[in-house]
Amino acid sequence: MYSLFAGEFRKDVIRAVVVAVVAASIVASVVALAADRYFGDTVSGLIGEYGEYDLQLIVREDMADTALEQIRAITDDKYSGVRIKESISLSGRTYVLVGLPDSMRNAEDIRGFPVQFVNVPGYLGYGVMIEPRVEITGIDSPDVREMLIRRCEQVPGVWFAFEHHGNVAIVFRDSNVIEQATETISQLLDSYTLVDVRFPMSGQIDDLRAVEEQMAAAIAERFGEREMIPSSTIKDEGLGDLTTALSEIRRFLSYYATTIEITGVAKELDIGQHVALTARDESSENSPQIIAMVIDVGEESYKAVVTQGEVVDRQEYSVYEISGTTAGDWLGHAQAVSEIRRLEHSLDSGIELVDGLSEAAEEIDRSIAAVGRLVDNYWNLIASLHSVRQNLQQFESLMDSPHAKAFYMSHADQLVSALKRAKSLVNDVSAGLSTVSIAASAVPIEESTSQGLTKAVATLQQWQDTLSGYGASIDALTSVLEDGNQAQAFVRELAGMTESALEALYSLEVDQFVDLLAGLSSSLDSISDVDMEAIYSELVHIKESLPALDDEEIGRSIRLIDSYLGGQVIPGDRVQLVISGDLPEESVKQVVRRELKEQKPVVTVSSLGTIQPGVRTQVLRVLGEVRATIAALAALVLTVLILLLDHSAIMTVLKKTDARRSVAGGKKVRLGPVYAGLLGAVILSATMVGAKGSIPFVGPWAVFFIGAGIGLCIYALADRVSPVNLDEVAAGVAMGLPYHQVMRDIVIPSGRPGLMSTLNKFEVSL
Amino acid sequence: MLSVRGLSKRFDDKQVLDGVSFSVDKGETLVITGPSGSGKSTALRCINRLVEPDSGTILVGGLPICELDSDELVEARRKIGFVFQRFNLIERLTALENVALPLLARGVPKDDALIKAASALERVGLTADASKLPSEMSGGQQQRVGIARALVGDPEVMLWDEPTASLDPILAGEILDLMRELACEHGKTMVMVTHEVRFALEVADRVVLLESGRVVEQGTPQEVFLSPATALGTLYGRLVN
Repeated sequence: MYSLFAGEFRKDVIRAVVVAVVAASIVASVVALAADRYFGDTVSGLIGEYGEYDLQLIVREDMADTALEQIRAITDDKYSGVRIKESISLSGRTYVLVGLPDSMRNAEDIRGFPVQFVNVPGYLGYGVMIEPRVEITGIDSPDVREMLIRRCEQVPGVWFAFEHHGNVAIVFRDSNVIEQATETISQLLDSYTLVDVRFPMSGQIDDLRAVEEQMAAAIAERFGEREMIPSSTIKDEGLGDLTTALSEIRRFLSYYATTIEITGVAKELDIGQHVALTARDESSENSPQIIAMVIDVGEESYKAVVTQGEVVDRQEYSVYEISGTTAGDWLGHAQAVSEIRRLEHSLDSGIELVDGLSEAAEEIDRSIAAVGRLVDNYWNLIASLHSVRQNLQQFESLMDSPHAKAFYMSHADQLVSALKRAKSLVNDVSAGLSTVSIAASAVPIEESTSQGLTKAVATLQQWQDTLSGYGASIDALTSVLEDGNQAQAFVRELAGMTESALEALYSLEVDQFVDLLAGLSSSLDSISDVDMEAIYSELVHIKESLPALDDEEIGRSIRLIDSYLGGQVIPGDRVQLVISGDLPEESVKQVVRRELKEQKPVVTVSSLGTIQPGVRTQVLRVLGEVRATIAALAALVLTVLILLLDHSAIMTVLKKTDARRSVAGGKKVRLGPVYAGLLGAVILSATMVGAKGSIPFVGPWAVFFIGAGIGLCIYALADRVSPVNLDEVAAGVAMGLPYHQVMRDIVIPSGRPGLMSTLNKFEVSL
Repeated sequence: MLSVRGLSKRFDDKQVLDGVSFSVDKGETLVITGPSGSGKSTALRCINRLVEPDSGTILVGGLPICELDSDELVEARRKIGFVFQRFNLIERLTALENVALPLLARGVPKDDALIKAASALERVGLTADASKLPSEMSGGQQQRVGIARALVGDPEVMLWDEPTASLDPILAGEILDLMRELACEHGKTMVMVTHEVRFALEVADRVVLLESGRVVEQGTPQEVFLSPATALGTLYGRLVN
């Protein structure tokens, strides 16, 4: 059935396709133009005709009437020839269009005019609409903007230029010069190189001017003396606080991060490089479970943080390169140091210690009481010993008298009582000193105080021993008194002992001893003032407040903060340097990075600014895209219709007769899909071109293949859309109709009504 | 007039014709018969290359049909009339137009073509129905239109592909009468594929009996049906009796 396309009918098909493409292009263009006109009229209704208005004043919607009234009053009063029109209201803002007379179409008036309305109730700001105009955006430096305004105003075709909301607005004399003048301005921008250097938020640049000069000097040294215009931006103060907070969090986290100390490394590692860790006795063949990132480079070692997996404190690891998803070459050894685990251990020990100290505090309380008693008892003891010594002296003086026995008997109770009291006091003082000396060893007291206490304790120990015998003697006093000689000797001995005790007590330098005890009491008091319970609870609180993050999470958090502090997310201090000449990007970057290595800057090099068309031009560009898209969609629809109405019958014949054609190699290709695909591709592509249609991000080849796809889809449905009676075809062939006549007289008339069938009416026999 | 030698045709994995040979002299009527699926219609369609034979030679009036290019083939087909089993009329055309179409294709002026077509319809007794569409006619009438369309170009050879198979016995009888009349009156060379064995015995000069794509009997009707050499011939002979 390939013969169907021989001769006449091939011409019929080509003619029908050409007519269809032309017709479809016209229809698609008309549809697109209608849409374009509609949107264009809408835009013109909103923002006026091209060149009709020059400015827009923005006022609050709820105060629009009052504002408009005042705006009109001001313009009527001060500016004759100014046209005012209320435009649309959007998001609570009403736009008031202002048309300036030619005399006011200059930089000074355009910038000065809106200032007159700042006191109008509800005034929110203004925008520039003057056309034809382009704007240069992306220039931070006022000096650079000023330079560009001067240079642009010298470009042929430029009427004037002015600064507008941080951009440079350039107004042309008429729309015919836009293209040429814009090209010249573009070349002007390209003749400068903008070096943009951003410093990390965490970085502290003390003197940006000095950095500018340093950069300028380095570039001048490398590329020769040039015109350079610096511009620096100091980081936002509010962001500065955030940076400080982030830095603190990073420091906090990094203190707790498990660090990996990598040593004996065979290859040089870079900061930021990831390595795999495996326990020393573990195979490296499996996918690595622990990944660490190098964060610091030392003399012969590297420091890394864990970004995946968990390590064990103090454990030894082997370090490997990462190759895909597996561990690669062996790099060296590493040891994990987990500060957080160590701190946890220390806190546990501290909590245990403080718990024990609470019990010691109770002992100290008792010691303080003992010190108080000790001071009192000291003086009581001295008084008591004086009393004993006096009694003994009286007793001794009467020993030789016949009344001695009677005297003794009458004073014995008094003496015994005095002796017992003295003994008791000595015991108390001795015990008190022992307690105090034990407590003193647990508290920080002066060395002299400590030595005094030791001496006092030794002395009193001696007293204690003496008075022990003293007490035993008193117990035997009654029996002793039976024998006068014995009693006398005993009393004398006792008096001597009393004297010795008093001497010992006095030798103690009582005032100093009292001061010593008072100091000790104060020290013990200060210890007892320590709130052990609070310390305990605080230690527990610290332990609970340790970051509940595993190594992997801490590593990731640090990396995230680093990316912020590195200036990748939050801009820090910034230096821009505009340099005359089109300098090689990479070389400039190298020079700046080398010069400012310490500050770790992010350097970008680009041409100076970007030319943006005016709002209306942008709107028109968007409308153009909409028009093209609508044309493309119309072309798609029309292609489907053309294939369905004009060609489905032919496709049906090709499909039902399984028409094939021999190609190179003796292979037979089915004609139907080739015909349908090729036709779809040609019709869609040609219609797209004819209607000037385009779909964003879809290129000509994509359109070609989309058309082919549509053709194949129609081919699949052809026999259902246009069923052709093959018996009629066979009859036509049998009766000696040439193939084109079979198509003209039998196939095409049996298909759907379309361009092909319309054109065929001129060819059909009957 | 018509000579077929070693005609073979295979559809996919089925050998439909396998070395079929027969010939018909000018003015003779050849009937091809045989069981369903024996390749009768395929053999007939190969003669005017409605079906392309795989091998073999076909001579029509000395023209080697298989070797003709498309233009020559078109010309050759104009010398061969073809009557289809299912009439194969063009639905959108009237009876008159259906018959006139082959003439128009040959460049006959439309008026002349219509006059000749009317004459052809008159020959098959359909003058009154000339303006009817096929859908408005009975099967017998449609087949008469088909016969008129085949005859209008005055072909040298007429091929009949079971022209009565789609008709009821009464209508089939009418068509057979017409065929008999045409065969007797005009002395045309005719090749008919039919199951009408009695008709074959009555009208045919020669009979070819096909079985599974092969010629199993060939000769005069008497030879084939009355003195068959094969079992199939015997079977068909009984049908005649």
